[in-house]
Amino acid sequence: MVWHQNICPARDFALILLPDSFDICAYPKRNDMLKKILIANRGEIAVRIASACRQLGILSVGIFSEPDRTSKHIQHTDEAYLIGPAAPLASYLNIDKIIQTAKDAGCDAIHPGYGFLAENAGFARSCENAGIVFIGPHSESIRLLGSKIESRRLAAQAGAPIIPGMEIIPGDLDNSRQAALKIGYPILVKASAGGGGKGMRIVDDEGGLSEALSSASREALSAFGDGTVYIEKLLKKPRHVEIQILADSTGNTIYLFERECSIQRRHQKIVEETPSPALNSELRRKMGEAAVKIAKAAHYLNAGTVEFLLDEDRIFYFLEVNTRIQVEHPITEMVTGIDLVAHQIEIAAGAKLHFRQEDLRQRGHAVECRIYAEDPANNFFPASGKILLYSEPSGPGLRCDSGIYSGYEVTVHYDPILSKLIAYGENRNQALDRMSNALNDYVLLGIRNNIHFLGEVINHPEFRRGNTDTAFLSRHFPEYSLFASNSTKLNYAMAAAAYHSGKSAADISNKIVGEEHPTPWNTLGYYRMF
Amino acid sequence: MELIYNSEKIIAEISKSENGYRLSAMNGNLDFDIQVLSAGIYSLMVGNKSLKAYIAGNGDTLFVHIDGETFEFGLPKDDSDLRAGADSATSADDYLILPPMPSKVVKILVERGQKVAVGTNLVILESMKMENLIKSKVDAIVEAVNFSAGDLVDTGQVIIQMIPPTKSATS
Repeated sequence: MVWHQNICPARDFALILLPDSFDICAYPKRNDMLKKILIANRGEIAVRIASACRQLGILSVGIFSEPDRTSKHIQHTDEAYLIGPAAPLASYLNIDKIIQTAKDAGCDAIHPGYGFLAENAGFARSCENAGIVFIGPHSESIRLLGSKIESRRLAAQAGAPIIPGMEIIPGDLDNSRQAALKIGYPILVKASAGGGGKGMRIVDDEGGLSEALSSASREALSAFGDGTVYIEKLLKKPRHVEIQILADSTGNTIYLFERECSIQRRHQKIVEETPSPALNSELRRKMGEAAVKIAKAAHYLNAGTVEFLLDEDRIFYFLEVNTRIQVEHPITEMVTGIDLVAHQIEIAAGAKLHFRQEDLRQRGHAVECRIYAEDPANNFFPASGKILLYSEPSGPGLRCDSGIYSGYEVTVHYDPILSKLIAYGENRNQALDRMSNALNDYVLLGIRNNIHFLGEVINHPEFRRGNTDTAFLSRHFPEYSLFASNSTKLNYAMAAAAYHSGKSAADISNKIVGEEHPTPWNTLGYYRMF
Repeated sequence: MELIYNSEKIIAEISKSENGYRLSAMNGNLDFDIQVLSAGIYSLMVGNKSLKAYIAGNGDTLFVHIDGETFEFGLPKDDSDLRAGADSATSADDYLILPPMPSKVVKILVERGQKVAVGTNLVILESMKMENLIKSKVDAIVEAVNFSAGDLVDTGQVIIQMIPPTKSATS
């Protein structure tokens, strides 16, 4: 069979290989498509899903809470309904209300997006019971993979490496010694009920084990009311590397390569890229195949992500499965040419994937920065307020998925993500240079945000070298000041500010010649009518 | 005008110059030309260099974006809301004249006992080769002049002390 690279219709640019016999004009068949989808989410992901619906000729229905009446996603859906007050439990997490709204609006499917109800097995089951297609995996897969213990057991059974020691709860010191010896030092003592580093100790050798166990247990008891601790292997400089999965109802399960998401702050990813600088094609294939095995073991359907930690020695360990579309899905779309959200909908409608694993290629490099309403100079404290002036960057290889606009009021009720900026390049450096320039051009005035901070991360020499791990930000950016700017630019800014204020206050000395208040005639600039 | 940057008061005055405008700020002069492109968007020319400036304000703060950096300038509030809870329309701080940064006194323009009005020139200061004219923000009577021409004053040192006019009438 002769293969050639072809452009697939109904996609921005597909990089998959299609056989000569493939009738590109016949794809996709739409007669068995869903007709109307309720989007059970808000913000940029709701806008993203609405655009996929429109592209597929499916009607979209938005839902919104009271303060979200002016939200961007409401303007992008074909219909939109108020479902309750600001509190998520009363609105975006209100299962009964959402399902009733879907029924009333005549929807045949619900797309949950990410966050909110996206990984709620009960919600998926309620949809199934109501005869509404849940765009995602079966509720039983969500339940299974949502449990840390069960998903690890499943991954281990599927032959995927899990972090050694996770199940070992030390009984007495002798048991612990033997367990630690088996795992190999250094090890980590962790509180079972823990989080935030409390009840956590690093133990380098047997000598420190006894003291670490008792002190971690004491700390855990006072912090969480439960002194149970367990032992696991300490991974050296781990990277967060995840594999994108697509699985159709015929059992065709494929991986769409990796995303590296090591740039995190308190487990919140802020920069993601693909390919990972740490993977070669062999490791990529191994991790991809491991992810597919886990997905198949869980009878996985639709899009999902298998997360791994990759240590310094390039050994990977299973972390968890996210049974939904990820925030960072656009970078995979950029390098594979596959529209993941459109495929989620098609798979939910019963369509078969029209490509196989060997048809996929990873081309070029893509990076994503998450724009958050938070103040990097003030310990990333969430910011709220009105966006006074907003201008998104554009240019070759750029994509901006946003949920905001000039005049939009950012409230304190929900996640502070405002938008995602994605840059594509033929190689890593080009993608990063494009990202750096795009961040420079990104204007978001009125609320504190992390755009300038992201620029510093993208241009950090260690990031440029690909030396990333999950502790990158705490190592290289322990503190951040907003006022480290250069004085030349400050002078330019003052000049513009003084002129701007002077124009409205009309107090520029010696009087400006001409108009003192901008009128349409001088704000429009020079133009001619044709 | 007065702007607050990084919690410090800075003075930025602009005047019309031969080929555009001149900014007189504490750290020097800047000659520039500026044109409105659309609401809040300006074309700034410094020498032959063109820059785009985005500006928007919300009454308290002026946000300026230039070449990848966003500057936040606090705008001095009306005297009326400078002191929360205070009945008087003016702030007590307005009666004390302090240098915005370490400066040399070039000339004192008032004397003890003199009545001044809002906008009366009080003192000329020089710092970093730049002259700054300090004007009164309040109607007042000069109570004390603590420095004279040629003196060096540091931030926090009071150059001129004033009192409200009514207060002196009753005392």
